[in-house]
Amino acid sequence: MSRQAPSDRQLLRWLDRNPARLETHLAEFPDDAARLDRLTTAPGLGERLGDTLRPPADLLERLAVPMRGDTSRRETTELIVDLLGTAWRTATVLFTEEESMTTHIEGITP
Amino acid sequence: MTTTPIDTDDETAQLAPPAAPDLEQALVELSPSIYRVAFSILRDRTMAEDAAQETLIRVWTNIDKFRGDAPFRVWVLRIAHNVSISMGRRRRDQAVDPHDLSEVGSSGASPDRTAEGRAMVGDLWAALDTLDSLSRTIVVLREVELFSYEDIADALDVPLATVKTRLFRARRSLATRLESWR
Repeated sequence: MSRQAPSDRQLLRWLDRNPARLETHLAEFPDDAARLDRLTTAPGLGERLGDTLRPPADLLERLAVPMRGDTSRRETTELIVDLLGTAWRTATVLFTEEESMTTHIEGITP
Repeated sequence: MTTTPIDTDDETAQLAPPAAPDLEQALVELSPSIYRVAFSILRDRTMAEDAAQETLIRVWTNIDKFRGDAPFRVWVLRIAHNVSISMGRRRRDQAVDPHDLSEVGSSGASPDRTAEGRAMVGDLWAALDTLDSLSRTIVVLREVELFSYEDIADALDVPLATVKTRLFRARRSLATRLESWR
């Protein structure tokens, strides 16, 4: 499909003044995103952001310890789920057999 | 700077959940990324740590639900995003005073920053504060975590074109601040 490609200036104008229009355009012509990617590149932005959002030095210790503590909680939860599952399976077998027997009895009852 | 999207063949982008006991190690490695996503949304270090903790627990207890339709890292940060958004809504009444943002750079977490560095951090925070939380998260995922556009869209559950438009606008806005530092 041929089209008149918008100029860089047009793309930037949409970006600044009409982002909804740009979004529609990029959904239809994703290749133009590569141009905008180049036009809006901000050298050093990633580093600056990484510095600004830098986690505290002891983050891992503070997060990892409770996580280990949660291991036992998870194992306990799994055990309970297993036990409940066993009880459920037992009940299912019992009720299924009982229903089957009832059906059988009803079947032979005049 | 041209950002390079993460290689989907990289081990951090695996499509299978890490088997225990590797899960804990995988989460420890992802913790800084989880924290940054939470911090970008909540703008408060304590709340970001709480959100990171909650995210880790949710991942830990829901690992069986990971289906491998997205890289593990994307799945984890999607949870971090959702947890942070929920936490922000719950604590909306205790919203961070904008003046507290200037303390971010001088908190105990980064005592090694120079006065100039703190000024830049405070300046960038002021610029970040002008963005909506979705745009902040998008720019962090792209510029810091080096996510591909597709993975950002997947993690945040927004259309691809929205990711690109928000990112480009955020860059234009933040670049203005960066220019003043040169």
